[in-house]
Amino acid sequence: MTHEHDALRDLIAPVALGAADPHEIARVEAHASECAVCREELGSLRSAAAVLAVAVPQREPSPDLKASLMRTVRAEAAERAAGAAVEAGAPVAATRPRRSPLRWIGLHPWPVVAVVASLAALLLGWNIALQSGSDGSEDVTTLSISGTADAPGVTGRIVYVPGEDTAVVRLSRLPQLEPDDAYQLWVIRDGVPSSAGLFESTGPTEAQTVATGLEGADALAVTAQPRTSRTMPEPPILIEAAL
Amino acid sequence: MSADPPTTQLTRLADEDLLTLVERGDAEAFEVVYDRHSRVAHSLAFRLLGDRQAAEDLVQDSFLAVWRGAGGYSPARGSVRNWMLSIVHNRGVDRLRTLAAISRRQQALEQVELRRPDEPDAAALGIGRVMAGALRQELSSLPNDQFDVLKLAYYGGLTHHEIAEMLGVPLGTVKSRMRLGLERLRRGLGAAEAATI
Repeated sequence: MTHEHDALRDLIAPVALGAADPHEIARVEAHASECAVCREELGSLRSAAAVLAVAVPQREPSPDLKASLMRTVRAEAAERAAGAAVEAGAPVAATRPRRSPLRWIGLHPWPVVAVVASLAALLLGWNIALQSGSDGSEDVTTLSISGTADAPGVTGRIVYVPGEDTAVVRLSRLPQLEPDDAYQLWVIRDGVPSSAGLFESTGPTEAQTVATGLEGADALAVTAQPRTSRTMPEPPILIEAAL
Repeated sequence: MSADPPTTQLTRLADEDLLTLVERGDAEAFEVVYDRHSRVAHSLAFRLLGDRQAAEDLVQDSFLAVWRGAGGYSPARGSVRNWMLSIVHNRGVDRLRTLAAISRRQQALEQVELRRPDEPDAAALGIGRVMAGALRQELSSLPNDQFDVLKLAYYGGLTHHEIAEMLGVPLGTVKSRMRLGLERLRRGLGAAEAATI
């Protein structure tokens, strides 16, 4: 056994407890992948540490948590199924066969002076195709979207699941965020935008979020703006889709 | 779109088989996984963060991570439950380290107590009563110095460097207490498993 082995073996207990620094964890895991003795010990002490996870008073999570989580999961499952259908070459319908609670109508201008000019340009950037589950197993409506004039490279998809009143917004080829900025989703009703929350990147240029409570919404939009300025949308507006 | 409870057939599947279905986008299989493990995950999250809303946010993020990346599970990481709890723990510790100064964590730790031997748990934890009893006995018999470092590390999110500084003891001593404490729990785990055979 080497000095390096002994030094890293000394760190296995902190690593198993989640009490080591990231670089120490990386070193121990790399060593354990090649050292059977340390690999077994790491697994064994991690199992022992898991005893601590269950050795706390038990508390039931609220039913609302499950309801919220399952809304997102079912919407994303429908979105995955719709994506798979598109990739498999299923025809994209120009009309939707079922009427959803959403009204798929044109966009109203927002009463925000700062974004009026941008909105005019946005309209040119839309590329919306409507489709629905072709086999009738899922009542979903999918919009393929592209970026606005502010962000012409952005592509994405919005999948709305009427049964859950939930939409999954998946975006790719997003511009890099400034350090203090975040993506923000907006729901627009009668020309009035309201925030549907901040969301983060899920990959180098990708992001995804879920919107609920869309009854009566006219459009969805995504901005990139400072985290501290969340009451009104500000340019750049990355995408906007009329519903 | 149905929100009916998962089928009986799914509820009979092992966690590993359910995760295979989850990886394929099966929302019902995911619901079974959630029903099985959400309570213990939420309990750990609450113990780490000390706030119901923060705990539920953590549980939601952790389960969504499982839903979106179930392929990250490997049997080499142990049981599915332990793997999921490690996700909750890692994310919870990240939040503790991001949001709280050491002094705040110390304050939170004053409220941290391990399960008392008379609290019911076997059913909730998915383990037998004999095993649960053996584990509790092992936990309650840990020497205080080992118990303290395990508590500060696991529930407080403190690194071994921070614990050494806080307790004013050499780093080697902290690591040694961590190892001895975990080895003791491991022996208890082994004895408990043997008792259930």
